[in-house]
Amino acid sequence: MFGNNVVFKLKDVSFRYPSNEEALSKINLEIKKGELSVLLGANGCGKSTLLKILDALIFPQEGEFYAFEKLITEEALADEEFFYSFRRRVGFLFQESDVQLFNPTVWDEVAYGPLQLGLNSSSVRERVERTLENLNMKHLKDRPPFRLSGGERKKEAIASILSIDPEVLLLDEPTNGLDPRTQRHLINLIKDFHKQNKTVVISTHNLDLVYELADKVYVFSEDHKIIACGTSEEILDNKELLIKVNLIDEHFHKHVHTGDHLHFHSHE
Amino acid sequence: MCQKSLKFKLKKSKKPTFLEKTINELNNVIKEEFIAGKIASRHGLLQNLDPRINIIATLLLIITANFIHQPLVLLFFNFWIIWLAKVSLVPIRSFLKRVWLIVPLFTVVMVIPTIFSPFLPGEPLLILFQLSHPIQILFWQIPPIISITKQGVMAAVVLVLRVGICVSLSLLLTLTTKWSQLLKALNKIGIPTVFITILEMAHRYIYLLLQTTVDMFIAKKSRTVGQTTTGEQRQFISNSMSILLGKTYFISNEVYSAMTSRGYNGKALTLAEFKLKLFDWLWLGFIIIVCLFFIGGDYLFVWK
Repeated sequence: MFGNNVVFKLKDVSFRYPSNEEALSKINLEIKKGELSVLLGANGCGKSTLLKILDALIFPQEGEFYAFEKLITEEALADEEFFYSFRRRVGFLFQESDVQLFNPTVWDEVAYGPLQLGLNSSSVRERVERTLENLNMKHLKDRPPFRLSGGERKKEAIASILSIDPEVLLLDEPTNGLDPRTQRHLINLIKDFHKQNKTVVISTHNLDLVYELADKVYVFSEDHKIIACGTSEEILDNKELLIKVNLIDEHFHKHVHTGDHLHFHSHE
Repeated sequence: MCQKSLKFKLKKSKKPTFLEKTINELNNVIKEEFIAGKIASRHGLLQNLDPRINIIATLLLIITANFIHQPLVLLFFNFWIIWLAKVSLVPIRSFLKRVWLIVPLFTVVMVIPTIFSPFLPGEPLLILFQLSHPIQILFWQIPPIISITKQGVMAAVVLVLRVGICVSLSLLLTLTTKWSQLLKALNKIGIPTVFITILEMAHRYIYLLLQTTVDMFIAKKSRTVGQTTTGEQRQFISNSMSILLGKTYFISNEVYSAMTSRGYNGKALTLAEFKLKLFDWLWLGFIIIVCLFFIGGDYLFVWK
């Protein structure tokens, strides 16, 4: 049923919120180890909900979700040993950094994951110091989150996940609200993480991100279904598809800059 | 005509509106937290102490203050705390303002009745008026001479000075210790982790919600032209409250998910290792001597 290197597999997964609002409809996908997948779609199409299912924070009402070859249900996560092993392997960056930063200082935030997941205090310290050093954040370690800029808060949220040293990184709209310099820094971080043969799943509507990062792209329609899957070139060249899912309008085009850099935008 | 009415309106709008006043107040809360954080980072006397010693010393001093009966000793105690604030590089003016202009005001209101003879009989200092005969109201008898009594004034002064000491010491502790360190130290001296986690998160998200409220009020102000009626303002406040409640509910769900995602399974763990230095032990010894000194002074004045 699974290849050796399948990390996540979804079979006919559907999800409705308690208000009966549909968020996902009959989703099928398979994410392999070391792959960088992008979930592409307009706002409200269900990308964030899917990421929450992949992180076992919510569970589908219909269909089956497998992670690391195991069927994921609330009962499976109730097993403490499996809960901790799953949490150690998967890290989730929330769209709003503020909800992820619930500790009083940057240092405490970065230490939270390793500490909860059972590392001893000297290993926690070592991980925190190393992560802060790698992200060049040592000077911010005693700051509370409300005294950080938006970009710094995003970096803190990423540091809080990287200190867990996960195998899989789930990123919900990672570049939203960031200035171009911080966006570039973040993209480089994702690339570095991916180079270590780690799996990354990104939800976004940023086409530049798709072009630069994606191995595989899943396109969501506004009725919460995956209507296309392909490489970044295949998807970005399919203007009709992108118009259909309301991501672009008819004025959309791409520019090729010196050094083969492409960017995508729209104007009349 | 039109210009005249415009002038009138502009003149009128110079007075800060309800929105402006609320924005300023919310900004002040955020500013004060910022200043408190800066003071806690200074290299003053109390900032260099282990937070646990700082908490224990504060508790010892508060207990001592409650044993003292002599106003002069209490007054001297208050001056000693001001010295403590000075050597801890706390701005004295704002420190005194916060302690003596706001908090004891409530205590003074509470203790005013005790200075009058019907509540605390004693040696009259100032006779206010005389009745022809005592008045009995159920079990309470109002004496014929209504006066301000020496005992009443002394009791009121002692209580206000004691409250002043307690508030000054608590304020000094929170100003000279970072909130995160203070909570960790409280955890180390026996306050349950769950309680500490709730306090930490409450402190964290109060500022987020304050910022959200400021943004909401500024957005409203930017779209308001001319005067709004009291009814409209009330409507805006109730709408803001419901939006904030909805936001709080959303944030609490998301925060719980974020905690779960990083391994929270009902048991919160904290990592705090404090190391006691020689200076901490010396300071604790000094505080015990200070406590004995004040109790001794009180003994000389009152108990003999």
